[in-house]
Amino acid sequence: MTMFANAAGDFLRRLLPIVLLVAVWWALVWALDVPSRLMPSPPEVGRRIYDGLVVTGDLWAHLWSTTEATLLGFLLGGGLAIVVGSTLAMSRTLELLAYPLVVLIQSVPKVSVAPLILLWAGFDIRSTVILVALICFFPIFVGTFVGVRAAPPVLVDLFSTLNAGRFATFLHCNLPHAAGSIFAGMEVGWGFALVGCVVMEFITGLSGAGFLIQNSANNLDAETAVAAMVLLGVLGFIGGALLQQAKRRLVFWEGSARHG
Amino acid sequence: MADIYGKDLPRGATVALPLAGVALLVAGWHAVAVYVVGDPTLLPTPLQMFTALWTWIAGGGFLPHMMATLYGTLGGLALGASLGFAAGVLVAEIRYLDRSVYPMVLALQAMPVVAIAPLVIVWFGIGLASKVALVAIGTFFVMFIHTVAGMHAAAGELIDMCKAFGGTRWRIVREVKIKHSLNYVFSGLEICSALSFILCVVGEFIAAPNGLGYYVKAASSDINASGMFAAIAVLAALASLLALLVRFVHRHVVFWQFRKA
Amino acid sequence: MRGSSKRTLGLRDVSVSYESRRGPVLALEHFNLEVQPSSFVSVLGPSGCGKSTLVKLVSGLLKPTTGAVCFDGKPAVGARDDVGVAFQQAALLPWKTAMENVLLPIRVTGQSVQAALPRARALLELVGLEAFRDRYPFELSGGMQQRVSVARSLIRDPSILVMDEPFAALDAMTRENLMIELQRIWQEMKPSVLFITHSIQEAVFLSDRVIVMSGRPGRVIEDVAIDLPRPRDRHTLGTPRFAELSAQLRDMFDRTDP
Repeated sequence: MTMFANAAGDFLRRLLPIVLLVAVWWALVWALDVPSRLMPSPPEVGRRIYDGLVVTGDLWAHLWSTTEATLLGFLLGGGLAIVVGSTLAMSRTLELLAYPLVVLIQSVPKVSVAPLILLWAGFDIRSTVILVALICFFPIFVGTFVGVRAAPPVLVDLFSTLNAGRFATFLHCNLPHAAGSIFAGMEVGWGFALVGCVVMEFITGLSGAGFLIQNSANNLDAETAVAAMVLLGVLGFIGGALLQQAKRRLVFWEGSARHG
Repeated sequence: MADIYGKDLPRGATVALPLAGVALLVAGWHAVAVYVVGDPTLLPTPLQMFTALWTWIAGGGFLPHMMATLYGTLGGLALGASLGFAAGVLVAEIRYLDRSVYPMVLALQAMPVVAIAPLVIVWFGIGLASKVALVAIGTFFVMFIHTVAGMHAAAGELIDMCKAFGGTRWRIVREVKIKHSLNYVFSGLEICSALSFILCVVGEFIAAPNGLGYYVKAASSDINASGMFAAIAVLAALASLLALLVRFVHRHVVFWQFRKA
Repeated sequence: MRGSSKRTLGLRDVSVSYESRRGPVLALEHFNLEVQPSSFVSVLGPSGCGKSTLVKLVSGLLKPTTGAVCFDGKPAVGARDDVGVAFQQAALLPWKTAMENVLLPIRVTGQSVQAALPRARALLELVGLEAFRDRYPFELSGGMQQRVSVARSLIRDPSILVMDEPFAALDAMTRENLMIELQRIWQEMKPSVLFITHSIQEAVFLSDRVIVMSGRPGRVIEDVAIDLPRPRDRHTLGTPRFAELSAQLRDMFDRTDP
């Protein structure tokens, strides 16, 4: 009974800042008499979301496009990042060899490559997925690399005394130890992934939240634009929350109470 | 830490291998450009890219674009970061605001700040103003959050010291508090330096008459990959320089964090 | 549970040098040591004298620059199937239970886990953690984790057990308790033990012989026989002979460690 009360209380506590935010927003728009084509009020946005999701359902297609592209790109980029990060972390030779490439990738602001990707992959969802993969690669790569290297040396030594091969040591020792760091990288990566998707939708005009915002802003339909932003925020939050939950389940030994 | 994973590496490997990596990179790029793609308008060879870059720089064509991007990026960064820092200090010090405003701002984090770009352009029009505004808004939030977090972290250690000094010494405590939070603040600034370029480029993508981002987009319509590569290279160089500069200042201002005992 | 027959460990004229920023460093020099089967040998020495190098040599993590590490007279080649190791940190896998951690050497070397299950249970019982076999390391205290580490080091019934200051990271009371426990466990399984320690009390209480090492480069300076009767227990700590031997070693130790 108390557990339910705690969870409910926790949820309400999380909700409070958002309620406050909406209240402040409403107050400012009303007090400064902001025209709704520049910044709509909360009820106007709320009505637009309701219309868009429940009544006409016209927002669903865009929401789905963004989710699909972001998810695919995230899985692609994340998977690659974990493989590359693990490989480079387990071999100093490969790490040093790949170092210039890593520095190069890091120094280029990934969004600036978007038109190049368009040139190569064309005006469809493939380009979006590629940009998303590219943009979320780096944080997940870093998380993986740091995590794998951070396996306690004494444990790696233990595996050495058992004459375990490098891959066996990686699988049973380094990788589980890296899990927490990998998840942390993924949480950051999810945020970056959404950025990539939205930016690509801005310039391609393909269906999605980015297109919605861009298109409706151009038509001075700020309500739809802000509605799309809110939905994007929800998407960002859900992704982050799911990742956190997954981390807590899989990396169950971290942050647990110590005995004695 | 790395020693376990490269026990048998010879001494010079730390220098030789990265150099080999550069060579491999250039060679691989060249090979792909010539044998796989075979079309310099889609993928220039390294040499072609540098030539394009050189002609572009020498011809002076890139200067107005580079300056436009720099004004937008650095202008917005200066504005947003300073306001964010000031607001952060203020909010962290006033408990009432700390309890109410800080969580509100944290809740906003879920939405990627790039999403407001089209709306910002509606507000500020096409041109430098909207770029600066976009960068300022993005960096404001990052600096604000990092500053408040830093002040929170500093507060813990200093509450006891405050009690020892007596409550009247608020000025000393506040100055010490700010100093302690600088590590967080500078971490936030490092993030802001990357973010500012990202936001400026996005702004230039959707509505700007000039700037490196605009140039990249325009060159893509002309199927001029060399030009795109050149502009991207300049962007990368600028972003790296800014990041290095901020990192340098970070290490020197917050020097105690990085000294080894 | 009795252990199987044990081999002799010998270090014959072993020297270990390695490269450092300041040039070659000699960690061990002309080091000679014979450990008879089922004997308990402690190694005392000042910091930096090469004790860790010794552990790495015997456990196979390091090869000697000159000389050889021998088992029953034959130089060791490749994997040390016959050596168990316990480090200063318990080094347990945090996502595995105590039981699974004890079975780790079996799993990693590709042997049958099923066949080893009864032995693992018996070992956990021996170290007094039968009731905790399904607990995770974060649910166990530091002393309990070390006990799991000791059980793990014995799972393959090794000839030789190398222990690198296993109790150093624990508080004094747990240390003393575990020291007495270790004596009891050793009596049961009787591996040869090479026990590295900083504690004279541990060295005297546990061993048949105590080796005193010099500072770097490490060499054997003294080889003291401990003639206290076995089995030893808490009372042994209070006997005059114990105090005598401790004082003798303290003297020798102080001479090497200015």
